[in-house]
Amino acid sequence: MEPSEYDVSYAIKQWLLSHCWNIIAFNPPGAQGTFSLPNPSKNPAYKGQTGTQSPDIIAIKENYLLIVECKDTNLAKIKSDVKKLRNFLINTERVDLLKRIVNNVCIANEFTFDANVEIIFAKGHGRNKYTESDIGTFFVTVKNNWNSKIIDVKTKPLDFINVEYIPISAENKKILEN
Amino acid sequence: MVYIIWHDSDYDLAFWVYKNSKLRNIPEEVLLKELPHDNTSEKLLASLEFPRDSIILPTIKYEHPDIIIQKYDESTNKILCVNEFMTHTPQWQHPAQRFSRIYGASKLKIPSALVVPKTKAKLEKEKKKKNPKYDEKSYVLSPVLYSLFDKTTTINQTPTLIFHWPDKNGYLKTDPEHPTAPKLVDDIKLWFDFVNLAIDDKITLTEPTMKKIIDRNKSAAGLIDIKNYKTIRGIVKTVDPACRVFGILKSQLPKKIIEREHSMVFEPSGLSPPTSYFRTDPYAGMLSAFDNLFCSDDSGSRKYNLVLRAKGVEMRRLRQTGTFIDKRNHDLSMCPFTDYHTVNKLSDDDIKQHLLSKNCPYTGTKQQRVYGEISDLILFDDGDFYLSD
Repeated sequence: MEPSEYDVSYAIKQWLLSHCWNIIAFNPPGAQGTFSLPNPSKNPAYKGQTGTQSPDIIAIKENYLLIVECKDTNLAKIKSDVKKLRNFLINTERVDLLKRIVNNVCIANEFTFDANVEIIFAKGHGRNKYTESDIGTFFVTVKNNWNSKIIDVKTKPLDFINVEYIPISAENKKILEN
Repeated sequence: MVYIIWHDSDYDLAFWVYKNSKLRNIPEEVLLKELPHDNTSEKLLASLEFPRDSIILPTIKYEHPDIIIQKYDESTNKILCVNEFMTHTPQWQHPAQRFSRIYGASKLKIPSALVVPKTKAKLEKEKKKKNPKYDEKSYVLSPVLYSLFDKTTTINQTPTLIFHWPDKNGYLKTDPEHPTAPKLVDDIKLWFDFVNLAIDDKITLTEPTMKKIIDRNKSAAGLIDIKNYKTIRGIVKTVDPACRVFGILKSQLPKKIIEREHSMVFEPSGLSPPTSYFRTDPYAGMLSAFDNLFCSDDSGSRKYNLVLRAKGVEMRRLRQTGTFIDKRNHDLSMCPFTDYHTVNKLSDDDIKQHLLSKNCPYTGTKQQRVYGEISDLILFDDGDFYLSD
């Protein structure tokens, strides 16, 4: 059985909470978006949302800001996420906007935020234990008897969904897991 | 007995409702169940369990709300409340876009709530400048929305309430463990009072907490002037001097339309942008809002026909693409979407047969369910028209 994109996002969010990360944004499919990042190259005269980004998960811990993109099992889409994450830091104006928004969200939610925060990335998905040298991977599996369509509240989803973090280095492992 | 928290695929939000409501402390079974992804017969039949789930059908006939709470045992099958959450900027068109979800539930006399930011900040690029910077712009909840919920409460004699998503300087406070849910402070405590009263089936218009929110909505309500809405062409005489109704022979229309002396014509200009044919958002929600605001009196009777002039849209094309299905011989008295009274008298087999009959407009697209069945009449560019059941 394969995890849905929602299962992947949910399980990673729970993993991050259990590893002392504060969740700033959580945008799984079908949910209300927390916030979106405007596209600095958009023509301000155009009223639509061209190029607006909503990373699936944004989390902070100490001096780190983590951005996670989640997918179910579709390899082409996972690779597209990797490209998106690699391109993120190129657009410095967008990075500044992200920090500005995250700072205000942290104030509203009483989290500490350091403007000199280091931005790190991860991807999350199921099926293929496919890794990249510069982006950490959350690998998510589900048990065959997991049914997210109907859940008895006495059950815990994480009894059915497993998350494994595959770091890119020992230091990366320390940052994510400690 | 079982309680079901229906959700629109966000089971983490449903867990938050469970954990913070009185459902957490009751001995009965509680299930979190995902609503069907759409209203097609196939999806409904695949995901609903009869007879328990049949009660959901009237509640989702127009659209799918975020959270619905149901109570079920051998003697009771009841929807207790319907709830919608939004995190977008709260100027008129965004909350209006979601109104058909609340409209349908409140009409069924189900206590209904919208949780919406009172203020939301957004970074926006300066316009008309050479090197534009991003400025913070704050959007506030439109007073028209309070008027809309106040009038809807009056029409349906059912609490139809606005609760504010807590914020600080326009940035939303969220639950630390369930970040798609609001933080449990301020109005969200009141919202849980509402949910808990609904679970106990003790919601009335005069119950003190309900009255407090109803009075607050009333005092925040703005004055409404139909002339301020560019999408409304106006209120016009239904029958023209040539004894036709919008170019249609009177004999082709039901008596109820002809008998209403005036009609309100909703004529948005953006129904057929290059990206979609017969677009629904935000106009489907607006149409239901305009019904309550302008076309219906305080008892809910239509004083004006609600006419949608679908500019740039041809019925011929909607039929070809399946956007509108042929509803000939659709029997409203046997339709499980009609209301709770009707669905409760139908057998499981009746319901299944109706869903499979392929002529029920409520198993169709959002265009047909909302535009088609909330308005009295849709006028298309090719001269064709559509009448609600």
